[in-house]
Amino acid sequence: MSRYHIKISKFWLAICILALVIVFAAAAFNIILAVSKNKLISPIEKYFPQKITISRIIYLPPNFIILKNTSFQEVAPSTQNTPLFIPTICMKLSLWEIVIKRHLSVSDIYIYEPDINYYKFRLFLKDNFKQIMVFIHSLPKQDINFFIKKMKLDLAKEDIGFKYITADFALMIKGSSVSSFGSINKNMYGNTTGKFPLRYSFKAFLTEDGISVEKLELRRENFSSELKGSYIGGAFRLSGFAFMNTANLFILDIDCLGNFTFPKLQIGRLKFSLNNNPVSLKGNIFLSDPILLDLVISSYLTYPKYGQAEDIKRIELKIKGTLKENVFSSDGILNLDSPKKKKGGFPLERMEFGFNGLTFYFAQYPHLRMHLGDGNLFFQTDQNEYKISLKDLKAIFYLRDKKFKFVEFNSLFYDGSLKGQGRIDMSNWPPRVTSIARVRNVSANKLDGLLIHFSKFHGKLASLMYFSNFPHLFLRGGMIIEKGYLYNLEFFKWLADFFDLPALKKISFKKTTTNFLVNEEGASLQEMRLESKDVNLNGYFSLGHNDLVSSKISLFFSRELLQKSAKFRPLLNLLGKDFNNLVFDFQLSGNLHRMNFQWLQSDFKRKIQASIPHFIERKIDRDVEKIIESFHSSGRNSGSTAK
Amino acid sequence: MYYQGIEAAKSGDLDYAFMYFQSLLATSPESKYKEDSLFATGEYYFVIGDYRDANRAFIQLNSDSSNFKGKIFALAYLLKIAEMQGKEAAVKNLENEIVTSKRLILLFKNSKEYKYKSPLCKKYKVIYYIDKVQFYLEGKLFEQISY
Repeated sequence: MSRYHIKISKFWLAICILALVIVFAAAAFNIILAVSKNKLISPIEKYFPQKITISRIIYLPPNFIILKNTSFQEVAPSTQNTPLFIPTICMKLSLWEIVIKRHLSVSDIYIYEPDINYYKFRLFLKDNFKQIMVFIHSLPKQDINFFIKKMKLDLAKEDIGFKYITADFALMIKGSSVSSFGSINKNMYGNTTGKFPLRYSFKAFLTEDGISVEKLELRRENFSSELKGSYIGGAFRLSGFAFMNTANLFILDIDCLGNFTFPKLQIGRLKFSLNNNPVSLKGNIFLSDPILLDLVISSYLTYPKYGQAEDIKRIELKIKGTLKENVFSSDGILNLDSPKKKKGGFPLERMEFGFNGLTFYFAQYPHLRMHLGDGNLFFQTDQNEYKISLKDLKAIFYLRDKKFKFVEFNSLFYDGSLKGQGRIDMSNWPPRVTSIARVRNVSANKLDGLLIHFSKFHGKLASLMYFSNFPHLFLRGGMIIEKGYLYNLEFFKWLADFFDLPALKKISFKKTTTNFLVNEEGASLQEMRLESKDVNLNGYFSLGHNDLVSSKISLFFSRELLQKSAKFRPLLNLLGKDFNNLVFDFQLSGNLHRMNFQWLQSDFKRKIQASIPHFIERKIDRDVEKIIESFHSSGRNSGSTAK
Repeated sequence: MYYQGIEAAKSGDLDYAFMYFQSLLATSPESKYKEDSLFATGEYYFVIGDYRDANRAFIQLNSDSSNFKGKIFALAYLLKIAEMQGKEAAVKNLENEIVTSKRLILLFKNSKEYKYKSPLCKKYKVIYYIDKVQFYLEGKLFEQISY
């Protein structure tokens, strides 16, 4: 054997001996680890009531320690009952520290495929928040890299496991500097919901009792956000911006101050600008089970079309709610004020919507179900007030389509029903809303809160209406009241007294119909028609800005009815038997509360004029004017708003 | 002084008439001719194209007087001035005030009219129809509101 071969053999022998030493040392170390596994865990266990189990601890030369099947156990040692289960944790020890400083120090931690049950983990956080913080503070202050690969956050309440979030994280701590990056993706029913996960990157500095975030960037396909802030001694501060291109949402100038001590998140101030509309929010959120909310959100809405100064509407939502298992229930009140009126705009001054039992069901998202126990809607225009009550309103929102959102709704509506559907075009701001609704079988007089005149109408009302806010805001439709009667309508009441015709106080009809239109110009009843045995009416009535009226109405009175009047009998004799019906055509104009009146030309009027001298005409004119003035005064004095 | 003003107006000397009416307003602010004199000064300012002072006189007349016969014509002047100055909001308000100032009941007639002769000897007429108001000055249409 040559010297060369001897040298080679010695070299390999040394290698083999070294390998054997390492193997034996590793084996011995692994045996020590296995034996003292519980001793190693116990320092951690003192922080938590849960039992921490690790099936195996393996040393892998030269500097890796692997923990297999680590779990925080509540009851039984199975993944189904743990808030946290980690199949593999790999810790890389710092060779430098071991060799030079003879000190065991972890430089990198890799966590592979941790499985977290969201609901149980939230409870775990809630119960152990303080301990976790103490544990984190007890860790040695050293540089470390921390990686989580393929984390699975299970969102399913029952442990079915088909709705979860997957994520990858990397966290690097060097001195007081902390940086992190990663991505998060939703997985519904086995499929990832978006091609593009939400990616983040994060730079921060650790302080004595908290963390100061220099930059937190969030990016997704059509979403981008950049934030900075701090969390020190329980108090947090946040500022930044966010863009959401899909919904054309631009959130700028975020400024948030608050306190967070799990589970209570107290928002002292959150201000931001949403598409140039300033929004502020304050209140409390309890991240308990259920999650509790108590918030006040307010904004000044501006419509760029009209200019900011002339159309500012203050909107405020006070809401208390709970969120549990994809169900959000709330009570609250929504207020909308219009302190400055836009010239020629819709004369809405105030709107208030009080709601109880407003519940949203997110389980079938993007189909969003809604139920409203009861709601009271109140509108105030520059002249009038309107009230609408809704009970047991059910709605389904179809939110899958990015551009168009659809809604179907039905509700009890007084003693009848309301049913309809709508479409919201989200590609514009404000969103364009169109809706069609049908009202059935409602007692007309119960709608007196909506319009005081309804108190005089008795009978079952049905209506079909169409609403849109584009290109202009309008509500139009048709309405029919069947088999009812008109009782004490002021105009007929006045005619009844004036002409000694008590029958006019109560007019039974087969049906009365009208079309209606409400828009920025005002409100109008078109093609009004009332058919009854002795009285027919048709015409139109429009109410514009400043309560200006425009109306033409034809009234037909049967001869039989007029025969009952002591005042009309001589007139009928004067007219002869040519007239079976008397037709009064008249026009109304001027202010609603002080309407002008003109008796329009007709055969009946011509015949009357031919029969009486001019000075009698003038006397009648004067007398009627006095009577109408006195009628108006008495109406004002009695405080009646009915016409 | 009031009648001296009228005499001056009758002889076509509007400047002297104006001075008499203005003196009356300065020396006898409680005079029963105060409103007529104020109207006359407003008219004069309007005629010479001093719309700012005309506007001030008619506004004072409109706010001070309640049963003054020429009040509706003072409103017509204010409307005219607002139109000339392109003040849209003021035009709308004045139109509304004129329209609602009189309740009209027309049974056998198609309109009602009222006349006023000002201290500057100008003849005014307003005709109320069911859907419009027409103002005439010296027989010529001066202003019209349709509604």
